Amino acid sequence: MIKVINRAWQGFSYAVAINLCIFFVIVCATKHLPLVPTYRAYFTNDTFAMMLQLVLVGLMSAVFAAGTVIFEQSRIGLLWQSLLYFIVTSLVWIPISGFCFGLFVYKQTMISFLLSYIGTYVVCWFVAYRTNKKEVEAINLKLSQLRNEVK
Amino acid sequence: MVVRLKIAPQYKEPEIYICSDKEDAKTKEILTSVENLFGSSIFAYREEEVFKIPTMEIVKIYTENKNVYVATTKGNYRIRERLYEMESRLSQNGFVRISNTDLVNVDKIERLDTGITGTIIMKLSGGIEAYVSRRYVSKIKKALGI
Repeated sequence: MIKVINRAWQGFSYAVAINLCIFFVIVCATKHLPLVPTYRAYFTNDTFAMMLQLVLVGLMSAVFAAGTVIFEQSRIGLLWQSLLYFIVTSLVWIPISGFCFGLFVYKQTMISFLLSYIGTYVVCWFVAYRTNKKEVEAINLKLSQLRNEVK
Repeated sequence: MVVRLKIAPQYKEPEIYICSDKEDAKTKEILTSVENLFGSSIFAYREEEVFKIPTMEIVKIYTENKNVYVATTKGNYRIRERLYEMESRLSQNGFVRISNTDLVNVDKIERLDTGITGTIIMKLSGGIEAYVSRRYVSKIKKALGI
């Protein structure tokens, strides 16, 4: 549990710090707050909108960071680890992205974004699975070689 | 008894193998003598009894319900040390961490199996099994000299 909290805190801190720097650079360069119009329309105070976006992005990163403990649960395979991580992170990033970055304003944008996200995920999972298999084969080969050396 | 000396570049440290067609009293005696001469051992507990377990007899050391146990082909014993303490103590004796909960004796690894969902199960001596975390696979490879 401490590990989860620690990672969540680190994810939150890094995300807030990085986003704050990006905000600062954009504000200095353009003299405008980097807020999506649909998001900005929800608020009357820009500073509050910016602060809330920072907190929400921090929260999203906290979940992404804390969720990595799923990959340390060796009793569940890579498939379930990936699925669980996907579900847990999607529960946070989809609503936050929709709210802060207007993900759901255009249907086509939302569909293409979700498909590309899922596609990337599937490719990453497949590559990890293949790598896993190859590494296990290499280990088994080495074990049999060591056994033969002893004989 | 035949005594052979094999010099080969792959042996970075001296290794002793006792070869026999069966495990009898004589092989056990040789094993114990070598172990007493060079090996280390740990104290483990089972039902208030204390046992001295040679490290070469340990198949794996694992945590369960916040307790640390030693698994051998003869049974399981509880130890008082923490897993990370055993890891630092035995890493030079051919033990490798394979997950957050398991530390295994490299000499006792028989093979690794992958499940359809991507689980990696390590088959060890005496029918003992352990789950491998992917983040520790590189450590296993390093321990085996890959």
